[in-house]
Amino acid sequence: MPMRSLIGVLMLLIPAATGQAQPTAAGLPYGDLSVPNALEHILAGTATLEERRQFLAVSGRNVERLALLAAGATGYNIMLKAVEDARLDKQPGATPSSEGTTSLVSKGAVTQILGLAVEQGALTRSDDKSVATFRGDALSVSRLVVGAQQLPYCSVFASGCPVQSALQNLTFSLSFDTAGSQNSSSAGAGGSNNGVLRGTGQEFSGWTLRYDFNVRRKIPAGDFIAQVQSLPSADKYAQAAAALLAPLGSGGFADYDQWVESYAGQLASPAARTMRGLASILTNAGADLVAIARAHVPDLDKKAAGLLTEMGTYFGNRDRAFETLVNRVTCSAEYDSEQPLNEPRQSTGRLIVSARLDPAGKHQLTFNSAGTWYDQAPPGGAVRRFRDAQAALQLDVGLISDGSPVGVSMSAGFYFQWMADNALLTIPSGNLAPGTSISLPGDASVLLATKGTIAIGQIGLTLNFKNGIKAPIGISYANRTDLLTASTVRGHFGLSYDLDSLFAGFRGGTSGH
Amino acid sequence: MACKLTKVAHPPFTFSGPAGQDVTLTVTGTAAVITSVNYDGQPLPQQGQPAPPPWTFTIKPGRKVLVVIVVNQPGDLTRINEKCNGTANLLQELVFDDAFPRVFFIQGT
Repeated sequence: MPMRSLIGVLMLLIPAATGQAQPTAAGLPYGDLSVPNALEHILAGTATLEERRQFLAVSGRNVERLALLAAGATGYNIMLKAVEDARLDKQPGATPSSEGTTSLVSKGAVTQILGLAVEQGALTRSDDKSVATFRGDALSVSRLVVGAQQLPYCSVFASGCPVQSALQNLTFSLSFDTAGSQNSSSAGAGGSNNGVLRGTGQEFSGWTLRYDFNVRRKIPAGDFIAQVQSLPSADKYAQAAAALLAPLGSGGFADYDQWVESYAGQLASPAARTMRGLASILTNAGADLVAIARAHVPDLDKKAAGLLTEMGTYFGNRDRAFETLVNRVTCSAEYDSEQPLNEPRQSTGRLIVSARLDPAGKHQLTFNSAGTWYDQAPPGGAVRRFRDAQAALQLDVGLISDGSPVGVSMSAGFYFQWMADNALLTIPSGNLAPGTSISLPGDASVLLATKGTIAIGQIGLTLNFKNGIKAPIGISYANRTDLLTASTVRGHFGLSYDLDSLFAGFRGGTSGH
Repeated sequence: MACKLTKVAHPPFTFSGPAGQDVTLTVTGTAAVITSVNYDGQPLPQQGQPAPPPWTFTIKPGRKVLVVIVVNQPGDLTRINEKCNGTANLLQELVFDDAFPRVFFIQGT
């Protein structure tokens, strides 16, 4: 079963890629790594008292560490959820060649954690049906397996996260036909079960594996500063930090000062000269600091969660803004395996180039080219095994500024498909031959005279809500579809929920419908 | 304007200064920008966009928390300073890792 194979490969790759052995600097439970040379000097036993004090001070990364320790096991997921919510540049839903999709092209960046989207409407097939798509990347699955903090968050322009970057660029999706398991030959037999995933094998309709090659570039200082100044305000973020730490500056100040002096002494001990020993000292330091904070900060858990949320929101907004500068052009290679309703299993190889046209990233141009072939040679050599070639071009334009609670984007796309031969249908036993009332006694292959070109134009609006819900609305015109020669005009309305946002809130549970 | 803030021995990043005096913050680094400042629970109004805003606050009596959010390119040496007459009073030096809150305790006397 392809789905099982795919999951198995991912589960084998994840531990190998992430490995948990010696603690690394980034994996230390506490300690401000931005203090110049402090970590190196502590490990060498040459750190000055001031270096050790600053390494322990509740500033910089240590503020995040304090909040994470105070928030407990879910702390890191709170922050990741906020990052996901702030990043709207994702594409839940099936890939364009899958039935039920409302997208003409694949976007340059795909969603990060498992996602389930249920969409209505068809673009390139003759049937209308519901498709549930689970989409994820190796980084998100790895975080589920080994823990989020083992693969910490890295900003989009950070260069010291090769493992996270490589895992994040490997994405996959699994699509399920939530309406077509009735296996009717009549198009659009959605019925009342649309959107319900029953978990039967017949529902599995396709899977996708994809790797993105980002053409990264160093950002000139002037562009960097201009982009920072265009970001949404960080005032709420700073306010949340102040709310958490203010009590340490008043009632908890003496305890905090004593805590710093105590652990600054321990950082000068021989035990601190190995990463393992240092990690042990810092684990205790973190626990004691949380105890001090708990004694002096009212609603510590709530304030810690609030800070992590604001931090994640700011980081997510910043990543989205900087992605346009860092990854101006993204090239992707994608393989799709799909089982269209009443058609033989097919594979598609796809190359995607996505380019941001302006520094703000409000204009994005995406080009796809693809070829599709039947996984098995059609019976009797009825048609060529190579089914079709496709090309698509889509322009996305952001219409509403980042500060709005609802983002609105407009897209216009053109899709061209060349059918190398007539389309091949597989009609299961007991169904009716097309256009007749004749019941077929056994599986049959049917050819429709659809050789030639298909052209589709589409314009649409997508509403992006902060909670991960997207509502695409669109209208398309097609000169024909791959199964019917008549031209069609269709309106589309979809609703998709990105489970990145949901799953980031708790670790483990992935069921849904 | 002479420097107003004087370093206190410990804990780190604690400074004292005369209440009622203004302190202006600056940041240095290849692409360093202060994006927000919060003093005693209140955000400082950001003025003078798009030019670097004068992040100025007036020292209050008692010990107050000052939070500064800085963004810069990772790995770049970054300094948060008090702006004085032609000089800079170093408050915190860091090798920029991410836009974490930089926290100070300001003791108004």
